[in-house]
Amino acid sequence: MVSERKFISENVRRVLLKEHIRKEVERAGFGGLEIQRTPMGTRVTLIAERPGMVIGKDGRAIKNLTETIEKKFAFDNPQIEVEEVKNPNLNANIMARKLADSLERGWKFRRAGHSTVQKIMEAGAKGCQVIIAGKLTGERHRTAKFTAGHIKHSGETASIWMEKGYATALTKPGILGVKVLIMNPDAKLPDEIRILTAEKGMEEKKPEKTEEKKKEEKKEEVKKASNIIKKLKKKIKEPGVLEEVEV
Amino acid sequence: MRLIVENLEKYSEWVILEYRHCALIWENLLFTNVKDKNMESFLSEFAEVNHESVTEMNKKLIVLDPAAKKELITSDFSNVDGIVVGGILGYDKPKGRTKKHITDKSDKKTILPRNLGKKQMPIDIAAFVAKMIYLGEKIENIELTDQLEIKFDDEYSVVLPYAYPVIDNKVIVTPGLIGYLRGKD
Repeated sequence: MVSERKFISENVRRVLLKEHIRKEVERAGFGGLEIQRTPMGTRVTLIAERPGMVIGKDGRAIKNLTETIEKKFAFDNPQIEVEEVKNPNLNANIMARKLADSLERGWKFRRAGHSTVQKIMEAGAKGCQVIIAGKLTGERHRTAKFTAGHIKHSGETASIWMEKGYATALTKPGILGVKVLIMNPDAKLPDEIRILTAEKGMEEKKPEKTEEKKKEEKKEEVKKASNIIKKLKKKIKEPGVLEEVEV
Repeated sequence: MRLIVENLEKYSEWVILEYRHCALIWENLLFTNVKDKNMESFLSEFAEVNHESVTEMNKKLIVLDPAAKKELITSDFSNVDGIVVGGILGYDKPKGRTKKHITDKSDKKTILPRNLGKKQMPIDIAAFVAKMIYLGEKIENIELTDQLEIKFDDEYSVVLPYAYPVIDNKVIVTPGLIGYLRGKD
């Protein structure tokens, strides 16, 4: 039980840290977080839309953040690395936050949902799904889904190629939950078969040996070995002469 | 048998569609706790409207409350004057507001709290299922959806976390609801 508790408490600590950093760098466009334990300490890789805002003037903001991580969350020697998002429109966390912001500003949920899907697809995603849930209009809960392209919900493909982002929008009727799923543009689906052309990739393959040929080869090897043994025996019989024997 | 709908929600197009559907299901219909004048004038076209709450009426009534311990059965209708649907939807998971607003406020000697299973139902669907039971059907024989997804096109769909009955492989939804959910904006 002790080891299970350790795993749970470690994961809870990581989730709390993620939530803390998400709040701290919200204005800089939080795009994700990766925590790695190294022999030197803890490496925290933070993905942000505007890394300059995370680092701050003379690195003050990042220094404060490092201190907080060390003191509040008790991580050993934390080292924060900030990475810039290459394409913000393909980052699920950033897109979810942007959508939540537009809902808070009063955008109609359908317009906001459709335009988010359009932006993601224009950025080159293979597929995406935007889910907005809550009291969208009026006092009743419902969930609106906007889907385009190819989406995977389960299996290895989903765990490798699907990126998930969450955000909440505080509106007058209540809190709306926003979830964005994006399929990576480089995703290779299991049913996608690529045939190599002869010029580029195909090489002439040697025909596989049949069992009969293998047997014949073995017989020859045995013959060779017995000849060598015979030669050796002859040489040993002649005293004082030990010449090299061809093998 | 009279159906009494205790109005607990604000005036909205969705609620109005359900109230209109209730009138198609039960001929003898009464709306109580109607304080909004717009709603009163609209509802009076097809049903009787009362300003007072059903909790102030001293009649023997079945109260459909998801928090009730017993399920509704046909024999429950034999000694009562009517059945009350406390229409209040809103959250993905029910928050027990029917109990708070109707069951707890009513005289426990006169009311018969009953549930329609564990699933949350819209007002008109609760009236529909109650009518089926009144006519002799058992609740376990009524198939209900759990998460109804309505697809409008390849891109847009809406999921409703409420129960809707399935009759002959067809889902019964409020007339006009799909058009309302499709929206204009």
